[in-house]
Amino acid sequence: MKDSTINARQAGMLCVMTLFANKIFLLPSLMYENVKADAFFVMIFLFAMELFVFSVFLLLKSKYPDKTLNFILEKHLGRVIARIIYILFMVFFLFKMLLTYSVCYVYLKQLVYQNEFTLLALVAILPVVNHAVICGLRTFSRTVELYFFVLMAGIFICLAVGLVNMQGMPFFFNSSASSFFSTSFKHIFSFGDYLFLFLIIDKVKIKENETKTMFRFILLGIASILCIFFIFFSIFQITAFMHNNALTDIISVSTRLNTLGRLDVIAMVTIMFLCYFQMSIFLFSFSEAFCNVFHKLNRAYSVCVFDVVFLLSYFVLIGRYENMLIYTQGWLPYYSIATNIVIPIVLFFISLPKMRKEVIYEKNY
Amino acid sequence: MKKIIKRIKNNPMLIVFFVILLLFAPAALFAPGESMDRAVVTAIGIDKQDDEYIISLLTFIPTPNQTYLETNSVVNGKGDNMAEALYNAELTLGRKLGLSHVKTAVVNEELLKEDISKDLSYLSHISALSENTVFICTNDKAQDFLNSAQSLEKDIGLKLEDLVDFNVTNIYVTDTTLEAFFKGYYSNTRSAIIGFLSLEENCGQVGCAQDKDDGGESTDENGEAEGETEGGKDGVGGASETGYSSSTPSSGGSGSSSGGQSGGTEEKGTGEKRILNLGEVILLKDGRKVAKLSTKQLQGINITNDRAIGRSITVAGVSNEFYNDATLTYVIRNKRVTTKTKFNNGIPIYSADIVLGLELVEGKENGRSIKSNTEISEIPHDVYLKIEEQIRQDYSDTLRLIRDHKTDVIGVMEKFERENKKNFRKFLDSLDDPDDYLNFIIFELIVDIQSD
Repeated sequence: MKDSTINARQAGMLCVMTLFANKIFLLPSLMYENVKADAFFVMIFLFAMELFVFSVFLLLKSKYPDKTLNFILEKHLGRVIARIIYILFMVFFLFKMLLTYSVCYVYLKQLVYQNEFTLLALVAILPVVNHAVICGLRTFSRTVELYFFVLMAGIFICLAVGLVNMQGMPFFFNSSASSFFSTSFKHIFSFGDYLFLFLIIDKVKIKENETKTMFRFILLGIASILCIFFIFFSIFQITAFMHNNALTDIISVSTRLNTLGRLDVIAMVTIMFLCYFQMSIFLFSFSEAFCNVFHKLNRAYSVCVFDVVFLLSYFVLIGRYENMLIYTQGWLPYYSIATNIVIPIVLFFISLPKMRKEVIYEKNY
Repeated sequence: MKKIIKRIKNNPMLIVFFVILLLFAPAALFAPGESMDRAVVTAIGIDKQDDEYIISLLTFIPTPNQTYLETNSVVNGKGDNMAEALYNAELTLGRKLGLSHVKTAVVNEELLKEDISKDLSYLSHISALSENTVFICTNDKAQDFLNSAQSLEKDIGLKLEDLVDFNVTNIYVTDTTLEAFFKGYYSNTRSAIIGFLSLEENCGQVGCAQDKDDGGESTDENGEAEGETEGGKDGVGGASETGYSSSTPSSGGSGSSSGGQSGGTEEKGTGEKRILNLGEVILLKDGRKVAKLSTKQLQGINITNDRAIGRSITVAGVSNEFYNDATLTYVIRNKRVTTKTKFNNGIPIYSADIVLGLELVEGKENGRSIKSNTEISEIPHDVYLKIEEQIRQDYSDTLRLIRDHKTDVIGVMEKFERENKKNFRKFLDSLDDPDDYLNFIIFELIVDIQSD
C-alpha cells in the first residue's frame, strides 16, 4: 500500500538524510567568511533551533497520534490559515530543492564533468526523485534504510581521513555577538530541514520508548555535521573561505593519501546518494503540502506541477548558481523566519495541553 | 507479452526509463572515449618571458599498448595571461586539459620576484588545480624542468611526484603544497616556504654538480650571497648531494609544441639539463621570494618541528676518557618539542623545550672507525655541551634569518594568538611596525639531549 506508515527508526534515518547537502558543500566556507571558525558555534545555535522543531513535533505527535497536520491546523487555526501554512511549506521546500540541486550540480560540474551538463543532470536527477516520491513514503524509507549505513560509513571514512589531516584547533572566539547573530540569520534557510516531519506527522508511528531511537539518529546526524565543520576549520583554518566542497576537500587535502589514488571518489559517491535522498524528501514534502492545498489532486499531479515549477524557477528565476546563493542569503532568510520559527512556535502552542476551566476556577478561589 | 505491457502500464517510470535509455544510450555508446577528449596533466610549469606567460604541461595521454610504459610529453602554450596560455596549450595538445591530477606545480625563480599568488589563485580556483599540489620552484625555465622530469622517469623510473614527496617528507618536513602557500599568504605573517629543485647543465662528468653544492649558500632576492653554511656536511643523508643523471635537451626538445601563437618556446638550448636535488627551499613573503635557504638553514627552521628527525649532527675534536681527538656523528632518532608563550612586564617570551634522542652512528679516531658499544654510546658531557651549543647556534641563526626577512615560518605569531591573544594584540599595537614583531620577542631555548 502506497504512502503507508513508517516507524521511528525510518523517520530517524530520514532526519539524518535531510541534514546534509548544502552543509557539506558550501556552507562552511560561506559561514567562515562572516564569523571565521565561530561558524561552528553558529551551527550549534541553529541546530538547537532544529532540536526545538523536533521537540514540537514530538509534543504534537503525542497530543494527536494519528491526525494529519491539516486536521490539526484546521481545528486550531481555521481552513484559510491552514492553507496559507501549506503554501508557505510548498514554497519553502521548492527553494530547498532548488538550492540542493544547484549546489549538487556545481559540485559535479567542478569535480566530474568540468563542462555544463544541465540536461544530463536534470535527466539523471528529476526522474529518480519523482519516482521515489510516487512510490510512497514507506518504499522510499526502506530504500533509505538499505543505504543508510553505507552512506554513514562513507561520511565516517571522510571524517577519519580528515582527522589525519587535522592541524590543531581552529581559531575560535574571533567574532562579535552581532556578526554571530547576523550570520545565524543569513544562513537560516539552510536549516529547517525537520519541518518535513510535520507534513508526515500522521504517517510516522512512534511506539513507546521509540522516541529515544529517533533522538539517537538525530544526534548522530547533528554530530556528523558538527564534526565535518570542526575538522574542516581545523584543516583549512585561514583558507577555509577558499574551499567550496567541505566534505570532498577534507578528504583530498593530503598529498600523501592522494598518491594512493583519488580518495575524493568516496566523498563523491556518498554526496550523490545523500543529495538524491534529500531532494526526494524535499519533493515529498512539497507534494504533501500540494495535496493538502489542492485536495482533489493526487500525488502524480503534485509531482508534475513540481517539475514544471522547478524547471521554470531554475531556468527563468535562478539561471545561475550564484543567484541561488544571493537568494538564500537575501530574501529567503526573511521567509525562513516564518517557516523555521513562527510556524514551529505556533505548533508548539497548539501542542500544549489545554488547562481545564475548573482548575482555573479552583485556583482563583 | 500482455503481462509485460500490463506491468509497464502499471509502472510508468519504466517508460521514462526506456525513453531516457533511447535518448542517451546511442549517444553514449558512439561517443569517443574520454581519453580522446582529455589529456591528463600530472605537472604544470609556469614561466614568464617578455610579459608573456608560458604554461608547460607534463601530460599523460592514455593510449592502449602492450607495455607498462606511459606516454608522457611536455606541451606548452603562450599567452598574455594565464587563461590565454592554458587555452593555447589546449590547442597545441588538441585535447581539453584535466588539471585535477596535477601533483606538482613548478615556477621559474624569476616569477617569484613578483607576487605569485594571483597566478596560482587563477589555477587553483578557475582551472580546478587541486590545492594538494606540491608547489616548487626552479632556477631555470619550468618548461626545461618538466622536460628533465620526463627524462628522469624514462631513464631511471623516478617520477617527479615521488622525488617531491621524498623531499616533503624527509627534508622540508613541512607542508609545501598550494594549500600551505595560501595559508601562509593569507595569514598575518604572510610568509611561506616552498621547495626548490635546481636544474643544471649536465657536463657528463661525475662531480659536475658538486661545484654548486659545496656551500649551501643562502641568497637574498637580489641574488647576493648571505654567507656560507655547511650544507653538505650536516645535511640529511642523500639529500644534499643528489644529482639525477637523467638528462634532456633544453627548451622544447621533446614537447609536442609547434610554432605560432600556441607553440612552444622558439629558443633551442644546446646543453642537456638535469634535476639537482640539494634540499633547498625558498622563503616567501607576500608571495615574493625573499631568500633561498640551504638544507642546513632549513634544519635550523625545523629545530622546533618535532616531525623533523633524521638529521645528523657531527662533533669534531672530542677528547675525553673514551676518545682521543675523535669525530662523532649522531643522528636525531626522536624529538619532543614543547613550546610556550608568556608575557613578562609586557615583553613577549617564546620558549621552546626540546628533548632530543640521539644515536651515535659513526665515530672516527685518527682516521680509523670506532666500534660503538653500549658504554661509549652514552653521550659524554663534553660532547653533550658541544651538541647543545651547535643546536643553539642553529636556532640563533634561524632567528636572525626570520627576523631579517620578517618571515615567521616557525609559527611564533600563531602560538601567541592561541595562548596570549589579548596581550599579543596589545603588544602588536604598541609597535611602530607590527610586521617587525619578531625583533621584540625574547626567545628561550632549553635543550635536553638523551642517548637513544
